[in-house]
Amino acid sequence: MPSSAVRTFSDPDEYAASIRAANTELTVTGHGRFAAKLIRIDLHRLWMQRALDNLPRITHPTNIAGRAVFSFRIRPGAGLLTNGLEMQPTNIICHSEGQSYYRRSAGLASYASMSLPVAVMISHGAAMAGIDLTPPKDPLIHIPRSSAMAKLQRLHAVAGDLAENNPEIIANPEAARAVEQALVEALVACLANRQISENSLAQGQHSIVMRRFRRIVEENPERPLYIPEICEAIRASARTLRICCQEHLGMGPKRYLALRRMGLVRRALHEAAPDAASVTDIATRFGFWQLGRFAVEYQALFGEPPSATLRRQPE
Amino acid sequence: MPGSRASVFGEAEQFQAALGVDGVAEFLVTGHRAFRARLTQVALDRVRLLAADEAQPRIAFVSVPAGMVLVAFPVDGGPSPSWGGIELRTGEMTTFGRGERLHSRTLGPCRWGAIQIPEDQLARYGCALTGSGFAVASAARWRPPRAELTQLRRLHSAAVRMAEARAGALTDPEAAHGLEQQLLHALIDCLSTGQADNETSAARRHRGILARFEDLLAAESSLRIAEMSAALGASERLLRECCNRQLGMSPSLYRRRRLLQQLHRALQDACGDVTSVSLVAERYRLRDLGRLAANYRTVYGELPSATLRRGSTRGR
Repeated sequence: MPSSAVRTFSDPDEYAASIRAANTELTVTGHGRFAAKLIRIDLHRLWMQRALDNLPRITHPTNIAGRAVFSFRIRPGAGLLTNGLEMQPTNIICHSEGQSYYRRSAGLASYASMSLPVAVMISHGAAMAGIDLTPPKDPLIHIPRSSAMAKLQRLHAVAGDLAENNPEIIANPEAARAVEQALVEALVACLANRQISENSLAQGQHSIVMRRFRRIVEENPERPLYIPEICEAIRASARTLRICCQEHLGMGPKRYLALRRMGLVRRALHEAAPDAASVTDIATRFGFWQLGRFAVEYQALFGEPPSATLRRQPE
Repeated sequence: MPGSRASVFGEAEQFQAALGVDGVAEFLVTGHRAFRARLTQVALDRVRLLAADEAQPRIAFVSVPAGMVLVAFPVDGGPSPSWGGIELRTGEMTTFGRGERLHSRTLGPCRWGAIQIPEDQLARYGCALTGSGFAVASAARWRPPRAELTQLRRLHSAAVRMAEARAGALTDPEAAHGLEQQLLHALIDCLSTGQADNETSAARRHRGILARFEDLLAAESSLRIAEMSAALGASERLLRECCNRQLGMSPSLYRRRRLLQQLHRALQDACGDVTSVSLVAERYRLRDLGRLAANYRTVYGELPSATLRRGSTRGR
């Protein structure tokens, strides 16, 4: 049964949990009040999302196993990178199946995604354009003909408008089938005449380092992590890790892990009973020892002092 | 088990006892005023942090505990002790490997910070972070890049401040682990990017002579200095030079000052059973009582009998 949903968010964690991709973790890396909007459209076999968020941030989604996933940027704006590949409204990221990737933005960013079961995608590719659309091992960037890309952008936007204003049309199986057919054709047309920017060997090795890095982070969802133990676990030197993180995250591992710890502190402050815990105890448990600097950074990131988060009762 | 302790001492003996766990074996106060020192000790998973603020000049004999590496640096721009003859300026630090023995001397009020790290942990994370083998020289003076050393000292002082501000701080294992990881990272950055002056072989030999001199003083303090230097395999002149340079006094004066301090402590602790100064003095083989009393008064500002009286009143 086709369906659609439109949601807005002010909490980064809720937004991250709603994006369709397993284990999405979102780390806000810039200052300000967070706002995001997510449109989700499930047709028959084609699933789509349109997302908009306003702050610099890093996410690490994992593609759903068994599906071929494509994504592209909706409007030009602040930098938006997937595993270090710059997304533009004129190109498409062809994701690897079931693999995770880093996506980071430097500010307001909107992007679209589409996915189909791998077998369906392969047969459409073969039938419509005689091309092999088996998902690649590492994410690739496709630069379609501009007319094909413009058509895909237009159709995707129309589907988004329908979800927002006329969801009953999407829910109608016949209409949904027509929308799906048009969008899949537009997507295959984009991929048919394609230029692929090949990943260099170094990028491949960096992807391996980042996958291991990611695994450690995911295995310790609640725990703060530090560079020495990570370097030891993933068998990469601090220098290599720094280069890889710069490429994939746009910042060094120290900064990224500190921002991640900030997010963990916020969650812990939120969940703690105000009379039983102190900001100092919680901050130091997450590795913040210079409390003055911590308070300033916290306020800048989340718009309130840590004591205010602690006092607020969990909902 | 992580934990911390911040104390203020009015007695050198207690200060020395508190530092015993960190390898301080002997501690001779060379100033004549009232002793006063602040000491903060922090134990993390396996790393230990120390910070001290001392009012009186002194000579400490340190034996780096088994399996540990000692890292010392000046804090708050205060004058720092010399470590094994190494004088540290702001922006420098010194390292001594496991089992190394050295004299640390101050000439007046001083402040210092130190970190003790298990050698195996330093090697393990040093290797992980730099991607190559990592070993720290047995004794060296370092000049790390400014940012790296600042980071190390910031973490150290933040932990020390925390320990001083709150009793029972730093007992949370997760907090201790995080601080230890950050300290290790900062320290390895300092050591892998900093310039090192390794101790010269002559300096090493001199440090060794002084350490064995200390052994002799503990075991056979009645030997003459000539006999001691023979036992040390060094000429009398070399022994005197080493003592003058690192201890700031001749071997015989150092021995006498140590004995006087032992006497002072014994007198303070003596209760009714030891009633005469000469009995105590005899135990320490100080024969010439007239000169002893005069020397004693120069250092402690009172006659031995006066110390004993105060000691026995206190004892009851």
